[in-house]
Amino acid sequence: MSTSGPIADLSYRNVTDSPLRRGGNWWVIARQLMQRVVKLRSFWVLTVLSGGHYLILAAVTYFIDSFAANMGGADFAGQFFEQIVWKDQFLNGFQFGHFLLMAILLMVGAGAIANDNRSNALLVYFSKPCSKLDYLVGKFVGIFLMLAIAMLIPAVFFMFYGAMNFREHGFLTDDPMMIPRALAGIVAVCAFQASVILGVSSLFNQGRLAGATYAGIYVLSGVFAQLARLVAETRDVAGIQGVLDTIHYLSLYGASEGVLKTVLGTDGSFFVRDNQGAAEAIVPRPDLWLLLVMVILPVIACWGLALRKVRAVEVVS
Amino acid sequence: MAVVTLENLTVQYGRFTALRDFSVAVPEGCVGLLGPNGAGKTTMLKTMLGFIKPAGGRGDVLGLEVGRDGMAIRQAVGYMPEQDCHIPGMNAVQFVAYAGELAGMPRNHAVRRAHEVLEYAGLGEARYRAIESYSTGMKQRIKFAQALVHGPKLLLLDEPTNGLDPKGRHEMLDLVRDISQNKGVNVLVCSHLLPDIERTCDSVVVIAGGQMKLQGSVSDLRGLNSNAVDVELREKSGEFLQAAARHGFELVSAKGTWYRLAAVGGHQELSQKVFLASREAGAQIRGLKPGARSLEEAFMEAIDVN
Repeated sequence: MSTSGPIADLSYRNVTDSPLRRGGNWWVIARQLMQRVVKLRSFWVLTVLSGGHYLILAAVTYFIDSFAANMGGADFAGQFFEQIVWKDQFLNGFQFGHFLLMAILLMVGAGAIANDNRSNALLVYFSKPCSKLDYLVGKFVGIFLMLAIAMLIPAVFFMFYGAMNFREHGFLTDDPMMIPRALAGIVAVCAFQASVILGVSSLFNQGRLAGATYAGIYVLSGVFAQLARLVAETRDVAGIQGVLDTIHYLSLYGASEGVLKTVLGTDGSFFVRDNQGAAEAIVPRPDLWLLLVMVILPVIACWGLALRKVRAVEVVS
Repeated sequence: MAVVTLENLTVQYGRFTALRDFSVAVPEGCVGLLGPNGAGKTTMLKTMLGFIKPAGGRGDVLGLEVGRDGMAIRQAVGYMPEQDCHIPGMNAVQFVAYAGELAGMPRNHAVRRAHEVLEYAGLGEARYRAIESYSTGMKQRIKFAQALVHGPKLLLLDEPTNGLDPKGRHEMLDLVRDISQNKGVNVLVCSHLLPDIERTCDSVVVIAGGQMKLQGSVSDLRGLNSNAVDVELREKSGEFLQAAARHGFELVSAKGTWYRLAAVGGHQELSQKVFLASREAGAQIRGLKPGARSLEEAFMEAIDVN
């Protein structure tokens, strides 16, 4: 050995016999992101809290199913379950927990690329046989799966609970496609939101800035849409209901809600079918063209941004 | 055999040309890539790795074509960047194993290999600490380890001693020397620190202004002035210099009682002429040796002359 320093170590050997791993680098990247997130206690706390609607609904239905009949209210229980639109509960579940889901998304995705930009990690990724697409798909899949886990755990719990206890009240028969539709709707919402935060994250060198920007867009676009509706409603402008409804979907939250409504095939309801006081506040599901514009365009724009921004070296043009 | 061959490579950043008609054949072993700041050294490395698309010319690395076989090149090459780089929230084992996985190793192989290379790089006791808490020297070593984890045939080291204290620098240079001399890995060390190159490399490529200025073995470069002799006298003597001039010598430099003289002829002949001149001038010689240049002198001459 030519070196005398303490760091020279003959244990080094050349690697010539290592088999190549199966599967693409995108999965390695996605798995690394997920391994980091599942260790965060706050992720699990937020996941449980975001499922609050399902927990409350499960408790209410259990109480009515178990005790109302004994207290002489058999008719009340029957009427109550007749009023419930089961598939709308998945929409209500999303509406109840959407701010917490946004917090989960920020925790998982805001720093996904921004923190790599800050620490020059892209030089490590791209000096290995890892393509830009591998990197972006890996980050996307990691964010998407963690958000899907956060949304699906409470929803699947409610699906099992309902299928076990309320089949005679139409849980599976009102809409036989309800469970596949709910799963597909959640997957679509997760894919949309994961794509948007991927694009936002690629623009920054700090996860906090990316997170603040995404939260700002999410909240402000929602506030703007609500304010616009409110102003138009208070002035009682006739004949613009369609425009008001369209405005509702011009936000990240609105677009996500629109996706879920369209896939579930519902306009939504407030807990029970004939809640007259709340019926006026229900916004019908959006037209398909509007939905495509509100969802597909941001997704394409965000992926385009990410593809343009993510590179191993600064390019001066 | 050349491990890297570049032919008429031109690389541009917008209107700025970083490499212009650059051709070089980098031999096996430990090769130093020397040049002042902004000479195009890092651009050359990044072009080889496929990070930057050349505007013209061609090249190959380990027989793989630059531009076309980028993924295969990065599979066979390890790169230690100049800047600090790590993946946030990881300790050294996780980071290096992750780098191994990205290079295509199965997870269990990558973890085992990470422990080996971290031990080799001198991070054995600190390998479970978060990288964010590492000192500059430790960060340099972890960059070295991640470049080495997948067993590359060629290591590209960009300023490996940046920010290191003298002890850390010494140890890093020992590592570079060891990996190239004893482990059979070809190394291309990119630096503007001439002593580092002089200590670790067998041969040198000098770049300046995006063009190759000089290439050769370190001993050849230092010995280019083989027609020079260094003479030490007992005391300064103008008569000696006049006598030396009469014998065909030219004064290259004078420092105290040391004179570097150059003339045409072999060492034997030059020595005889020096003794004749000293006898004529009545000067007493204390020392006489061939006038070898430092690498710095050769480097300065290369970038000045060209």
